[in-house]
Amino acid sequence: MTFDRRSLGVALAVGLAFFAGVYGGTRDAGAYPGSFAAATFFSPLDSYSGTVVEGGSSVIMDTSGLYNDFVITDVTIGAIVTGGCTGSVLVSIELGNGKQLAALPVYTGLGAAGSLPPPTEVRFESGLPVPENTTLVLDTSSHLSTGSCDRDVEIYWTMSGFWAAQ
Amino acid sequence: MNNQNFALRLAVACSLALLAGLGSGRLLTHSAFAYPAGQALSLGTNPVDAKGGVFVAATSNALLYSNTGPGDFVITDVVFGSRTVTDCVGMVPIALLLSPPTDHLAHFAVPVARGDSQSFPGVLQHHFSSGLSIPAGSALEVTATTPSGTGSCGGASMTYTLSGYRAKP
Repeated sequence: MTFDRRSLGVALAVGLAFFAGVYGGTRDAGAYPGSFAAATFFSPLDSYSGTVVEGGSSVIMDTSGLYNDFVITDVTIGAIVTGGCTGSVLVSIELGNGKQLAALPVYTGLGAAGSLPPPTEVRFESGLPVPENTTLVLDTSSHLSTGSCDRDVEIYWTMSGFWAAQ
Repeated sequence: MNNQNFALRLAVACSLALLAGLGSGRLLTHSAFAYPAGQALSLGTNPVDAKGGVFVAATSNALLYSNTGPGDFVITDVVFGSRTVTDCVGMVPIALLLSPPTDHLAHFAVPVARGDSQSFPGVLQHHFSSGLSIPAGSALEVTATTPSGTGSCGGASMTYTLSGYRAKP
């Protein structure tokens, strides 16, 4: 049996490359629990965004065929301000099986003093879990308001989180 | 002889790669931000859960979350909001109750504002470093009394969102 420097060098190179690949690809981003985030070769962080008109619903995520849960840690929902009315839209974040994960009001319109409504911004220490093989639906109520809006309220949303280990 | 050398090199390379992989895995398992390390249940499933919905501010209790187990459920995040009420500006006092045994866990006051007021109420959110523990077989209820403020404040529609994790008893 021989053990030369060349074989040792090859072995060390392979080991270091593997170490760099795994550790470099899943380093701590600060928001997600490191012992729980999926140990993939890619960043476990992800985000989704879009818009929906009041009274409508939208499938915002589909985890069909995936093998990890997605945990939402940050949610921002706001309204594109319209004139002539002030009120709120109820936004419900639900799984495809009907389980309601969150319900949040989004404020609309102009205040009497011309103030603008802030977006509804929520962060979670734990999160909103979206299991594998399901869909996530954002459902909005009709606008509850005073006055007469000059057009339908458009809701924008952004959610970010991480892919979790099983 | 060449085959022997190749096999040896391969074996050494695989061993070092395995050690490196284990080392990197060890580095990745730092403390969790959301829940205390080691406290989550090892169910082979995601221990994080959440629930949301709507309730009406009234004197009677409303059920928010029922823990059917296994294990305790620790709530780390609570978010409350209100739909705009036509003629009310004020606060809705909220009490979170454990049942059974009946016990007060938390109190909050959620702002309510009418649609034409000059400010928007926003949502109330609180994040616990520890959390509200709901033992298996118990439930979390809410009592939200009529808003304290000006105008006609009865029947305010409130939203809630709870998030937490399943923990060892």
